[in-house]
Amino acid sequence: MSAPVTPERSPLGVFADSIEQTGYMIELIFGAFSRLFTHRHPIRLFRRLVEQLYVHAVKSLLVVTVVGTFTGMVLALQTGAELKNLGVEDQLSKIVAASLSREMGPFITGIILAATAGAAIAAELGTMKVSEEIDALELMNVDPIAFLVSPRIVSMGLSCLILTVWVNFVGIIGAAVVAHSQTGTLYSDFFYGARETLSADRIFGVLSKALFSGLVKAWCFGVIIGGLSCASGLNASGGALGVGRAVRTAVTASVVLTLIVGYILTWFFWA
Amino acid sequence: MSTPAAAPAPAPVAPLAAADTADAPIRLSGVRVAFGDRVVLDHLDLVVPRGKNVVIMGLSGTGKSVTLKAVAGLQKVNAGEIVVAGVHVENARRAALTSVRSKLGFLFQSGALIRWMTALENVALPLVENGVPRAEADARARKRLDEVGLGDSANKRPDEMSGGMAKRVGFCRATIANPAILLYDEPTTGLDPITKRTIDDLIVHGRDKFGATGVIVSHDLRGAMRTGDLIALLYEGRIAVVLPPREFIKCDHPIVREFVRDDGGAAGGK
Repeated sequence: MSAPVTPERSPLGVFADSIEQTGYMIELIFGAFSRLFTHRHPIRLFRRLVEQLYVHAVKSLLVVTVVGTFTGMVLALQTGAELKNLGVEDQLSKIVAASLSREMGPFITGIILAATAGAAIAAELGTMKVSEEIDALELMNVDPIAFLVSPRIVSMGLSCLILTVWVNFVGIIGAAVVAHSQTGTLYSDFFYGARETLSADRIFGVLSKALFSGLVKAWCFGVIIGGLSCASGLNASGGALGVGRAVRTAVTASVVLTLIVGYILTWFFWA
Repeated sequence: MSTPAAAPAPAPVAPLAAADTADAPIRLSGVRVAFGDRVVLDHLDLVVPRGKNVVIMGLSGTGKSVTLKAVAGLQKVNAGEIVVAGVHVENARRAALTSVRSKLGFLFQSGALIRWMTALENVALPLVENGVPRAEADARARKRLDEVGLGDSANKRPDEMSGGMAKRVGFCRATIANPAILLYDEPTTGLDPITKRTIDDLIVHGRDKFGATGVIVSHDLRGAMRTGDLIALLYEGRIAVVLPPREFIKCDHPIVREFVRDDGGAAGGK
């Protein structure tokens, strides 16, 4: 039998580590946002933020588009069949729009970002940590939070927000195609129903509650994933093995925390 | 190299005149560092005189790099005092550490260059991030790279550089702000003899041109003879011997004898 890659941890030890990691993540998130107002070179920070936005949002666009489109299509296929049996297939667009904007859009985007951008952040910062680049920054009096963490966390929040809007959009298009082919629903009727759902019950007279709650969730998911990924990376130790461990911790914790925070926000907006 | 079974002679030798130590920019006294049950440094005392290079030698895992990181405030200590440029770094707050680090240059074993930046950007980084205008920082960085023969490699990224080039770029970055203190963590490990000599020359250059006080952690006795004004042996958590190079290689400490034997006596001729 081969030796285990990492030593066995007791459940209590794992729980204690998770609490510590969450505390460090919160500290990093506060630090990252405070640097937005106290950074000595805001233009340089803005440039780094744009670079990170490109890496996180633009480079994830293809996978997000494919997953978002097929999510909408599957949703329409499964729900449409049941609604047709009940004779209320005209409600399909409203159900799809509400499901995507309230829950599935932010959640899917969050999971994809955790697996792609979050893993990349943990690996990048973890490698920098074990190869002493973070120590080097500190010795040069370069604040690693302002230099590395702040652009990544802020960019993850914005990326998740923007990509969620995109996932909602392509998901509804995908659902419309399936609804048209499966139940013969006219495209115009489908989009009218979806628009009605996404413009009802406006908050501050601007966004519907469904859309607003979904976007708040998306931003929170992005910030949490960014924070956890940075925390895991900066806590890495023990060479390549430690970097691998940091990536696994970042992705696992991001998925779990995304679900928990998603539930809390759903309760807050809809309970 | 095998660890001799015999206990070392407990005779710390400190050949420093009072005048040398009075304004010493680095002082460690009674330093203790432990990782769990494993005590790495125990009652370590060391004084580094101004403008001198002190080489710390010792077996692998004896805490040489830990000592260097403790001096830079990167490693917490369990007990003892570390005074660098007049500041107690063992319990310094962020502002005090920032002040000390503005006087420090640190060459890491791997170079620790930021991997997405070019050589020029890496060297200019400490200046740019501490308020020097970009054009001036770039000009100074380019000049420093020219001095170490890397003017043509200014636009290379770390993954396009050899180990020796990365070390030289790291040296440029460590010295770009003309620090009063330079710390070198195994600067020549893993390099060929010619590149080793180049790095050794840079270390001597750092002392002679910038008047910097240096602490060099090394396994390389020949390099220590070339670069050090004093050589210290770290053994069992404390400094066992501090002597000028010529006297160091004649010292009868069993670990020193092992180092000299392993080097084939060539260190005597530098």
